[in-house]
Amino acid sequence: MKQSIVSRNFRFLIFYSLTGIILSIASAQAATQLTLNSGTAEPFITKEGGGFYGEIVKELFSRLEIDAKVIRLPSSRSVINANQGIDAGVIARTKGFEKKYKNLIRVPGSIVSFKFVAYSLDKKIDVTDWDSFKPYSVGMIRGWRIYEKNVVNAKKITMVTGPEQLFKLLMNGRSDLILFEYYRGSWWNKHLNAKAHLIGSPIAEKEMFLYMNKKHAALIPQLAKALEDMKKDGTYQRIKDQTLTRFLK
Amino acid sequence: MRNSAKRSRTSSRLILYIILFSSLITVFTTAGQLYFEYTEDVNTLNNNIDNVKTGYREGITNAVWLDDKKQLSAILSGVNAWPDINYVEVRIGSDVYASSGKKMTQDIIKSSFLLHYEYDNKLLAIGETVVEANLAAIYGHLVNRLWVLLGSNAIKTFFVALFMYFLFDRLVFRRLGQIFEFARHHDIQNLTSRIDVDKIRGHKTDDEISLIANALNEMQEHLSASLNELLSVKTTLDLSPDTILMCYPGSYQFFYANTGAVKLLGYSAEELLEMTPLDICPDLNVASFNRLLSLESEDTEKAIRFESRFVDKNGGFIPVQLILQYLDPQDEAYRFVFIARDISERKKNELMLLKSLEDANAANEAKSKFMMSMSHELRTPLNAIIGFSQLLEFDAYSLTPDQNMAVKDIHHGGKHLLKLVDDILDLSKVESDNIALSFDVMDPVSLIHECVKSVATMAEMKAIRLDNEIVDVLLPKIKIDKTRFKQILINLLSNAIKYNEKEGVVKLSYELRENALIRFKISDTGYGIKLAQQSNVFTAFNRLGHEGSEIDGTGIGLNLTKRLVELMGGVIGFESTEGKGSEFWIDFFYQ
Repeated sequence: MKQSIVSRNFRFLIFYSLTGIILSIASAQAATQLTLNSGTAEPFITKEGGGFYGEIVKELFSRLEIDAKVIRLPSSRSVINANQGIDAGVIARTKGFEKKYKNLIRVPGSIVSFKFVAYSLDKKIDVTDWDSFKPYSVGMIRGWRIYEKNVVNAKKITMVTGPEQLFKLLMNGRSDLILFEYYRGSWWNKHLNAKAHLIGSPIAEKEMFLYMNKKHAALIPQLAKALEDMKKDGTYQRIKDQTLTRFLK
Repeated sequence: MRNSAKRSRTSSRLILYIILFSSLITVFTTAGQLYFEYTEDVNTLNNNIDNVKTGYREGITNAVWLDDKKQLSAILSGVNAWPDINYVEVRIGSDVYASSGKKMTQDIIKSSFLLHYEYDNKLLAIGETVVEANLAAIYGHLVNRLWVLLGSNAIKTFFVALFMYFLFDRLVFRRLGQIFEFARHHDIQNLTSRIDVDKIRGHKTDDEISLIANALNEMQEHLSASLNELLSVKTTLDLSPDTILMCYPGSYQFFYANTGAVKLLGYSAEELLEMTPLDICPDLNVASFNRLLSLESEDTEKAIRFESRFVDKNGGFIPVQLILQYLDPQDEAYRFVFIARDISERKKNELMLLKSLEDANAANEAKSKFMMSMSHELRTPLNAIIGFSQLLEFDAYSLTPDQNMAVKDIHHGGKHLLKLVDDILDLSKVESDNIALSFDVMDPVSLIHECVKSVATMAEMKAIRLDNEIVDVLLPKIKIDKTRFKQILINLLSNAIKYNEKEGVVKLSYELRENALIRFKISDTGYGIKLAQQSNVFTAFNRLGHEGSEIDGTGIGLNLTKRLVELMGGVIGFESTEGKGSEFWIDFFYQ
C-alpha cells in the first residue's frame, strides 16, 4: 500500500517535470525572435523589414509559433551572416546555393520565381533569346552572373553598380536595353517614373528558396510544411498580391 | 733626460687613460642616445599604427561587412602606404580575408585590432586587422646616427685629451719632474738643499704638489735633525769605555764595534766586523751561544747578565761582565747587543775578599770550638756551685739571714751563668753546624701548653696575666724538633714576661695562613722596642738598651731562637711599638 503511494507520487513527479521542461522549451522558443536576412531590396524587402519576404517570413514562422523578422543586408553580407549563424537564415537564394555555403540548408518549396527580363524605352525592340541582344547597346548591373555569362555579343555592354544607375542609363538614352529582374524592375520603373517598357517575355527564370543555418535544421520540415500549407490555403498568393503584384499594374 | 722620459711615459699613460675612459663614456652615451632614438622611432611607429587603427578601422569594418574586397584592398593599400608599415591583413577567423604589402618574418612590430560591427542591436566581431611595421628603416637610421655620434664624440674626445694633456703637463708633470729630480739627487751627507716647485709657475700656490714639496722640505729638516741626533748617539756609543758589539742572529757576525771594543780587544774595528762573539769569547761554543740567544729571545724585556772572559788579539784573557740584550726594533732586523765591561780589577778584589772570608770563617770556627770546650769546662764547676748552693738553701734555718741571702745570690748567679753557658753552647753548635735536630710530626697544642706551664711561675712573680688562646683547639700537625720548638716558645714567652710591665698581659695565639702556614704569635704589653733598635733585634749579644737594667739577659736568646726557627724551616718576625709592647711570631708549614 505504502509502496503504491510512493510509486504514484514518483509518477506525478516525472509528469510535472516533463511538462515543465516542454513548457520552458516552448516559452523559450516563443520568447526568442529569429532574425533572417535578405540581400535584395524593394519590393521583396523594405528597409523596415516589410515587403514580400517580410510578410512571408512572418506568416511562415508564426505558423510554427516562432517570432521572426527579416533584415535587409548587402548581398554578400547576407550570405556571410546566414552561413556564420549570425542570422538564422537567408531569403531568397537560388537552388544549389548550399553547395558553396556548407552551413546553409535549403527549405523545400520555392519562395518566389525570379524572372530575368529586359526593359527599353522603345516598344518596338523585341528580344526572344540571348543572341537577340546583338544589335543593341545593353546595360546591366555588375555581378549578375546570369547576364554576364550569357550576354556577351551585344553591340555595347555597360556595367553599372545599382538599379538606379541602370534605369538612368536607359532614361538618358545611353543604352537601348537594360537587363533586370521582373518584380524589382517594375518597382524601380514606377519609383523613378522611367516609363520603360517590358520587352518580350522573360529570357530566364529561377526559383528562389529560403535557406536556414544548420543550427535551425530541426525547423526545416515544419517550415516546408507550413509553406506548402500557405500556398494551399491562399495565404501565399494573398501576400504576393499585396506586396508584389500591385507594382506590376 | 730620464726625467723627461719618465714624465713622457706618465703623460702618455694619462692620455691613453683619458682616451680610453672618454671612449668608454662615448660608447655609453652613444648607446644611450641610440637607445633613446630607437625608443622614439618605435613610439612614432606605434603612433602610426594607432593612427591606422583610428583612421581606418571604420572603413575596413564596413568593407568587411559589405564583403567588398575591392574596397577593402584599396583601404589596405592606403594603410600600407604609411611610413614603415610593410604589411597589413584582415583575418576572418583563421583565414586571411584580404592583405596588402609584403609579409616579413623578422625585425617587425606587429599590432592587431578587432573589427566590430553593430548589427541587430548586437556588437559583432567580424574580423581582425593585423598591421606589421618594419624596423629595418629604424635600424638603418640608427646605424647612420651611430656613425655621426661616434664621429662627433671622437673629435670631442681628441680635443679634451689634448687639453687635459696640456693642463696636466703644466700643472702636474713638470712640477712632479722637479720633485723627482730633487729626490734623485738627494744626498744624506747634504741635507741643506730645498725644493721650490712654484718657481716654474712664477707664483706661490697651495695645491697638493706644493704641499708635497713642502712636506719634502720638512722631511729634509727632520732628517737632518734625526741624523745629527743619531750621529751624537753613535759618537757616545763609540766613545763609551765599555765594549759595545752588535751582531745579527744567524751569521753572528758583528756589524758594529765601538772604540771601547777596539781598545779592550786590540783588534781594529774592521777586523772586529769580520768576527763573531765566538771568536772573542772562549767560554762560549756554538751550542751554548745558541742556547743563550734563544734564552734571551724568549724574554726580550730582560737582558742576560753574566760573567765571562774575552780573549784579546794577543791571546790574553780579560774577565768581563757581559750584558746580552735582544733588540727588536720596528721595521728593522732584530739583533743582539753585547755590552762588556772589563772586571779585571774587581776580580782581584773579589779574590782578596774571598781569602778574608775564608780566614774569618776559620777564626769563627776556632771561636766556636773554643766556646764549646769552654762552656763544657764551665758547666761542671757551675753545676757544683748551683747544687751546693741549693743544698745550703734547703738548710736555710742553720744559716744567718745574711748567709741565707748570700747563698740565694750564689744560687741565682749560678743558674744565670748556667743559662748563659747553655745558650752559648747552643749558639756555638748552631754556628758550627753541630746541632742535631730530631724532627717529628706532632700536634703543637700540648707542647704549647707545657711551655705556658713552665713560664707560669715567672709570670706570677710579676703578676702578669698569661692568655693562652691555643687551648682546646684542633690544630694541624707540624714537623718540628720537639725540644727545640719548646726552647723557642719558652724563650719568646720569657722575653715577653721579662720585658713586660708589672701586671701586664702576655698573649699566645695562632693564625692559619695561606700556603699551609701556621703562625704562632706571642704578644706583650711591655716596653716595646725602639724603632732604631729594631734592626738589631736578632743580633747576638745585643740587649737593645737593657744592658744596665735589672732584667736578666745574655743578648743571645733571640739570635739563637731565630737560628733554631730557620733550622726547622720556619720564619720568625716581629712588630713592636715603643711603650705599647711587641708581638713576635713564628711561621711553620703544617702537614
